[in-house]
Amino acid sequence: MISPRTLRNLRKELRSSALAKIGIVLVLAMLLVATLAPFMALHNPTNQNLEENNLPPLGFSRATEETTSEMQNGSLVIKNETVLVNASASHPLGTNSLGQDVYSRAVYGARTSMMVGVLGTLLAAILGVSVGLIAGFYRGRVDDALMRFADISLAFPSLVLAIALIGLWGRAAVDIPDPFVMLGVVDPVRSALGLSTGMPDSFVLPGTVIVVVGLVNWVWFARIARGEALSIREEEYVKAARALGASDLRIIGRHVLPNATTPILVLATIQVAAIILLESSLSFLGFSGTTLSWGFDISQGRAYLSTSWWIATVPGLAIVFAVIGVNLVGDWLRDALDPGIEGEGGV
Amino acid sequence: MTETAPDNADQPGSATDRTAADDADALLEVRSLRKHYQDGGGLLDRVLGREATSVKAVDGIDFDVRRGETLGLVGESGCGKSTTGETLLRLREATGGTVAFDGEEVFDMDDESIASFRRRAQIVFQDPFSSLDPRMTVGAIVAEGMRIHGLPESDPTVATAAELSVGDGIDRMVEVTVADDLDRVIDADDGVARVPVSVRMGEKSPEASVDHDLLGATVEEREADLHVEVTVTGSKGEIRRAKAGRLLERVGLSSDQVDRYPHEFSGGQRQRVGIARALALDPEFIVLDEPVSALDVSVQAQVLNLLDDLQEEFGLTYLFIAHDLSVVRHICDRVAVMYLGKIAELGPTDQIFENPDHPYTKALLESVPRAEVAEQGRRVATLAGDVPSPRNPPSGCRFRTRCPKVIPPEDIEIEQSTFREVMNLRETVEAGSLDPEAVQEVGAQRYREEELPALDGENAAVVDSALEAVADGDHAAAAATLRERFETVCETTEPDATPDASGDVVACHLED
Amino acid sequence: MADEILKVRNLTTRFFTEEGQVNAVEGVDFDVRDGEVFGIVGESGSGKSVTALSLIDLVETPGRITEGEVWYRDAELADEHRDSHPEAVDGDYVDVRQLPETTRRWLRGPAFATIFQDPMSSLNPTIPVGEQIAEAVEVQRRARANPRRTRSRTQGYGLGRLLIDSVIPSRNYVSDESHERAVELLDRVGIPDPEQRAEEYPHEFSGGMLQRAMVAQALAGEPDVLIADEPTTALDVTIQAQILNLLTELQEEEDMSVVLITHNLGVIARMCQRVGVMYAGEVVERGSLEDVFENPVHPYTEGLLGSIPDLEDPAPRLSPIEGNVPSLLDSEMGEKCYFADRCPKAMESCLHRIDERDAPSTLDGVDHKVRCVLADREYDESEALDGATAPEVTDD
Repeated sequence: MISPRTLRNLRKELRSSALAKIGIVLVLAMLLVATLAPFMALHNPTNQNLEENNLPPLGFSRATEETTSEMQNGSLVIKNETVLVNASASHPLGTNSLGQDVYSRAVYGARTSMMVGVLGTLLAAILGVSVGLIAGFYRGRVDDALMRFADISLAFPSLVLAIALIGLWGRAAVDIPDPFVMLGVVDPVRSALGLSTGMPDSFVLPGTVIVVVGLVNWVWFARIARGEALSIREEEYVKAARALGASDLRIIGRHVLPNATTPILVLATIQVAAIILLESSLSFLGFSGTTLSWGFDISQGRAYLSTSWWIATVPGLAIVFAVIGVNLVGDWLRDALDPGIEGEGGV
Repeated sequence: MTETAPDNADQPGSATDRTAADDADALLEVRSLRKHYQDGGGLLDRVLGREATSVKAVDGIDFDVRRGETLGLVGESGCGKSTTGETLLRLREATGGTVAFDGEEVFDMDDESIASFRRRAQIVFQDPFSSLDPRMTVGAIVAEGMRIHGLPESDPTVATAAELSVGDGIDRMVEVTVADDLDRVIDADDGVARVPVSVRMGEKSPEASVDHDLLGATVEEREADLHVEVTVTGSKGEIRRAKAGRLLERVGLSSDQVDRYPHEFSGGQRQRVGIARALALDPEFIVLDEPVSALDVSVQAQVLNLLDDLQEEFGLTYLFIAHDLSVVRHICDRVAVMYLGKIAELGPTDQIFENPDHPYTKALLESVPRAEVAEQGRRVATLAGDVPSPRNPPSGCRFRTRCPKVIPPEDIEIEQSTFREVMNLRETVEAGSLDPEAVQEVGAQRYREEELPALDGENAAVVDSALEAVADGDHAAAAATLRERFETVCETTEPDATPDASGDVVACHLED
Repeated sequence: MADEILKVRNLTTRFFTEEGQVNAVEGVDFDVRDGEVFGIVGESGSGKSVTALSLIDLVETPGRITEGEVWYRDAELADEHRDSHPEAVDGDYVDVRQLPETTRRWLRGPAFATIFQDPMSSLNPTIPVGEQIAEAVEVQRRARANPRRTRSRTQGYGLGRLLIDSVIPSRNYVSDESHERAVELLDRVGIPDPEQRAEEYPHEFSGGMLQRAMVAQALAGEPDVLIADEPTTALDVTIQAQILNLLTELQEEEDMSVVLITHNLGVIARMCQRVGVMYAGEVVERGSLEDVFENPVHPYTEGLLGSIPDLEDPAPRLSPIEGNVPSLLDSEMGEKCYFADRCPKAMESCLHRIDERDAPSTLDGVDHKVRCVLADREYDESEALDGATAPEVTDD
């Protein structure tokens, strides 16, 4: 479905745009980290170690008041001493208040974000594109009804809607076994690399969150798909297909949808970024079904911002990079595909 | 490139040597076809209290398209010619009227009949850029119709046969069976699809072969005899692809271009792909909706020649919609001239072009600039004004507002050109757009003398009194005064546009 | 010869696109005489419209006029620039391309005016037609009042004034005088009720009326040369006939010269005294209408004339030019005659670029120039190029 000409445009745009390159690198890195999390993490992200809590990242140290008390000459002497807690090489980005490795949590958090981002967008796209294509293709009452409904959904603040839906359905989460752990390749590889073993053997797919972000964001897809369908249905090749005896479903699937893919694709990439942000907000507020999430970690680190800034900053930066990366890729796709697949060229 | 073929009129199937008796041979019969578009009437319009108006794109037309002929449908933009083409193929819902294709009512067809109608009646569009799906290869575009209808299927009336050639070393009886559906791959000739099969001695056992990618032959030894079986081995998709390639070749492209995308082709080549798509279902009838208007003249001539050849080869019937009169003259057997949703004149091409009867046809022909030196400096007596809006077409004859031959009432004496001016004045009065101040300023009589200098006698007196009414601001009274004296048959009565015995139409009161 | 208002020499315009250099106009020469209609005919992609834009210096990036001279006769202007720009002056003629930018801009209007194919997109849909024409008049009036200085001519017509006017609406943006002149012009181009129509917006005009309005706007500067780029292509034949009649009438009465650019050979035949035929960016044949239409030398001209169906005499078969219009990419154009691939008479001598040559002419004082070896020799089959007649459809 992707013509060589499209590929050429993509390559050309990529060559000329440094931002597009940065975007691709960021997104690829994020996907790689999310997929290979059991190999990339230094520790089991859920392992607590209260002995080593709030360790600073490498190159930093944390001052803390240490109170010691001892009996001295029959009286209790309480000494307040400022001691420096130094970074530990085994926790390069530090640990949180429960002594969990901040870096490893960020690695596993990428999994949740990417999963929710991609699956949520997919759901939104399937819903929205179907509705939009039908509304735009049939016009009239069908269009009026569907699009008024879309307008109403759009009028709801998305976060409020999401919270309401989660409240309604609860936080259904699905435990999915980690394929690498199941294959038994994680421990041998990790011990070969000299890393600790015993990574989590499953990860949580926050089902409700995915459904919710899909339901919150379908309207954008519906609007774009409707607009495209409205203009494509007037093209002569659609008339020609009708003259050949093609059914409506065939025309929609075979002619309208493929010709609407470019704007839908561009929207989808931008939506991935929006949904990553929405997921973070939801888990920040505690509505997610998993604790391995950037948003959740930020909320956990919020209390320690003054003393242990890294707990919230590391997942925060991860969100920033993910969103920037995805948006840059979206810009690249838009610039490369938008001038029309039909540049007539010539003078 | 040599011009050997005789004049159009001498070719078999041409219209000029037909008589009324041939009328039964109509492939397509269009009767009082109407297509009105509703404008407005949406929610917003209702809220704003706007009334829905209807645009009368096609407003009652009758004509036949005879088997094997090319009927031209010409007219200026907005006359309804393209709407006619699309409505009679049921690509748009008709507002009224009937269309019979080979005796069957197109608008009453059920799903099954419409599917067979779609195979028999096809369309080629004007815009070579918008008419091909940019996401599909031209092979897929051409094969789409076959895919929709599950083609190619075997025709039960076609027999299959093998032409056997036996090589050295085969000394036994050879029996050949050929699959019945061979005609899906091999084109039948005189009702028989033939395939050459050869049998020769291989290294160990006899081998059979057919020289065709989509066919296969197997040899079986049955007692003393050899039994060869020829079957279709290609999948439906492969057969379709091969046929698409053949069609591309037929329209002047190359079969190895099936995997290319439309944007890799020029306008003329794309138009050829559109023609191949229409041909893929072996239709009998093709609506050609301005097929060459978007092409450069040199390419246009190539496509016109191709359409000519295809018609002859496949016995096609064309409805050729165009605005370019010289193209119509070249390709059509009969021509229908449309004006504002109605047929003004219909007749054999030579008659229309050499002896047009309708004043509109005359004006249209007069307007066309000829590409010859004698054309230099020719001043054309042009039609005044613009085509009226199809929302609110003129009563009676639609052309009367611009017609240079509008008919004066019998009981008054007036010059033709003066009457035209009076009619123009009437229109501005009836539209209420004559400025009373302009008349007041000079007085009714002076105004009349300036605007209508040739008017005299009783006629002048009537106009003066009407202009006085205008000066008083009473447009209605003025209009009534003028109407009473100058009302013409052209505005009261619609001219008869039903085809006569030979299928010709001249919708003009001058012919009555 | 003193009766030429415009002499175009070696005009070359290129487009520097991402695909490469496109030679849209390649060494074009022609003259336009006083009070004549000179036609440029060609198919799409032949460079005829770019030629028009190059004449008035309106080629936009990535296009650029890379070479050539446009000599315009204006004794006053020549005197004025004789000292400051000696290279741009030759007798009564000035080379427009070498004049300073401000002077060049000033020439648009009183020297050259243009009408384009699509009147709808040439007018602003939010301003009444009359006012747009009045603006054109206003600009010309101010320009004439102070012809050589750009600053003063835009005084009261610049951005500042525009801002003030958009806050305090007033009709003074365009003077009443200009408005009256605009109504006069609308009347002049045959628009009924000009006063009323002047208040209407472009969408209330029909296509033919809009094109008349465009002509009125072009007349605002009383131009010496009117450049009409496909002025009737978007119109129906009956309306086309009206506009052609109007152009002829105006050209005779105002004594303008007209450069008429079209793909329609019939329009050329009706309107023009002399014609240039363009193909692949070059003028391949030019001369009087009689020479070009009745004694064409270039096989392309011949092919073009053979391609159009005749309204009076329907030949059963047309003789089209085989193949397609070539790419104008510099890298793909090669050294041979650009038409050689499609030419039924291509010979070995066509493998080199061919200069303009004289061809027999029937009229005294009118050159007949052809870019073809057949200008001074006969076609010789023994020298025919292999496969000179290209396959019916060429691949790209």
